[in-house]
Amino acid sequence: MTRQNIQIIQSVRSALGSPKNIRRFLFTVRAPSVARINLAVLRILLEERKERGIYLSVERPDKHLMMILERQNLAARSEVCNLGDNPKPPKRVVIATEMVNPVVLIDEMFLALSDKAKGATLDAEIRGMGFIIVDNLATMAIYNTQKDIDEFFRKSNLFLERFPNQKMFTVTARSGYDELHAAARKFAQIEVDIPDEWLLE
Amino acid sequence: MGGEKMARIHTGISGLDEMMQGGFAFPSTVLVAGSAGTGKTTFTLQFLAEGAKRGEQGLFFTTLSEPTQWMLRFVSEFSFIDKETFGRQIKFVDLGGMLRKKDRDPEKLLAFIEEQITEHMPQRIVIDPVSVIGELIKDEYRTFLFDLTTHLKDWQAVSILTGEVLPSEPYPVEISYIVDSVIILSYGLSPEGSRRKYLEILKMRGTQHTSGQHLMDVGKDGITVTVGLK
Repeated sequence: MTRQNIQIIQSVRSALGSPKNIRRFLFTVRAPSVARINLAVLRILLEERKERGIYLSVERPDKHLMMILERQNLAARSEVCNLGDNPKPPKRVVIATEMVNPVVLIDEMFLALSDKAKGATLDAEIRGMGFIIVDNLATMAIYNTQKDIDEFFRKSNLFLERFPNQKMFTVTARSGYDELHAAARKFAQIEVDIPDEWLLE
Repeated sequence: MGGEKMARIHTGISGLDEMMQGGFAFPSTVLVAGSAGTGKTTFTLQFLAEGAKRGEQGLFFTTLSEPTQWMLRFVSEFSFIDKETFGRQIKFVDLGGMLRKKDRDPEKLLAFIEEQITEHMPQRIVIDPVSVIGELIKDEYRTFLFDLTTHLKDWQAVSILTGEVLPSEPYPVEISYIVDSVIILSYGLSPEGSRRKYLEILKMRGTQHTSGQHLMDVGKDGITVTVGLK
């Protein structure tokens, strides 16, 4: 089980308890703690708020992500599927992995949504979910230009406009990403900065 | 050379971070190679202790099967050791049991390592020494190493593999190809003729680093590297 600091959990929980119109979240933390914060956010969404959602990983392979979800008691393998599988009954966590350029994912989703045969089903699947976690912006910045990242934020806004039930959670590392940070802050409605000392047990 | 978009973590080794733009790139894989007694285990424990101080989780895999307590009694006098972190921020896992089995299976070994990683979600991982595994699984060692480092790269951590070498052998070549960084600890003679320890960064991807051998001391505060001194 991931070890958590009470203050971190409280700050994440408090952010997630924001009014319903707050739908774009940014968590800023030291690079080594990005994974930990993603799991903290996911745990609260799944266990406390009983929501279903999408976990988008820029770099992790799906096998590893599923191992983590299972080992961390977040979701068994039977509770996870890939985006577009649309199983019945729906799964708790839908994953999209190794999305080096996540703009591609959003473009593909919009394309699939416009498909006459399958679009309505995918639309219903996404409307049945409450969140999308993006793991993580700093890794995205390594593989993409700032222009790509700006485009990702622009398309994310379009996605959130189309699906008003959705919230988007992004996590980034604190230092060395000034341009990314500025863009992320512009995108987010709320930023939670996790101080280094909160990570100490 | 870049490093601008690379996060870095401090090693905790005095003098070393300054040799490599502030620390190891995060995530990355590192080989620390050296002959017996050059300080490889001390290096890795100092690295994990630094992480524990910063709220990071560490995972120490030992392959030698000496009891962890036996190893720790010899390092317990170092000032960087905080025994409160043992078993908590720093977990010790023995791989020796699996390696001693007659039907040792590299795939099961890798699966076990991954189970431990997904359970503890460490930011710092040590496998000490990985070269022992080569002596036990021989023909499958290269494939195992490749699979291990490929998987470690996906786990969002800095992983240090230590490699034992003979005095005549600079570093385990089979490991050096597949890691991001290679640090060599060695013995040498100072200009005055006394036997000293040295540290050299042989390779470090994506990082401007100080090259050459630099004096390394092991005192009560752990390892200290003094750049420029021989």
